[in-house]
Amino acid sequence: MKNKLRIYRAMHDLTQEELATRLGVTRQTIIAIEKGKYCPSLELAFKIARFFKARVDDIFIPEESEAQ
Amino acid sequence: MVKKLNVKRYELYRRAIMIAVALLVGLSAVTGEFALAISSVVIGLLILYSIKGRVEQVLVDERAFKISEKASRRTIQVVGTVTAIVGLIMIVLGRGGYPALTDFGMALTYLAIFLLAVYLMFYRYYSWKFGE
Repeated sequence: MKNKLRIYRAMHDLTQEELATRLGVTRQTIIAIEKGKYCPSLELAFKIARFFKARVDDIFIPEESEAQ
Repeated sequence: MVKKLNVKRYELYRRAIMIAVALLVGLSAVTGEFALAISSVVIGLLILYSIKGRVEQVLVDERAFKISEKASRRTIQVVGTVTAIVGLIMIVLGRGGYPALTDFGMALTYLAIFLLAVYLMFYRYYSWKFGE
């Protein structure tokens, strides 16, 4: 699963620490999501999308093999 | 007004408390004062619990739970398999002329069975909880 979290975070001029605090997760979780090492739960994905006033699939993009 | 802590300061305090408790437990082992060991562990845990509630940032989240789930699963697989295999080897060796090993082998095998039974019990519980 690819994602544009880093881009959205930069657009809103937030540090990883600030975003983590706003979302109620650890900074390590934000780092892991941005690196594509961790796929967030649906709950967290929706929380992220709501926070950035975007849709989930604007931020999270399934890979070709995952989408099929 | 209770002063809030950040994660770095919390980690610093946590390590200091752990070192202090370890030193006191070591001291009590040397002097034979076991009340000191128990009281230092209890007091250490209470202090840790009280300062944990003052941390501003999140310490445990869904990723930490997921890591814990994966680690638990691997632990069950490794400990269960190794305990069962070593236990059976001990029983076989015990019957081949080393009777002292039989009891140890039986204990390990029972431990593996107990581990599997507890795992199956929780597996059934969570299957039911998550709608099977």
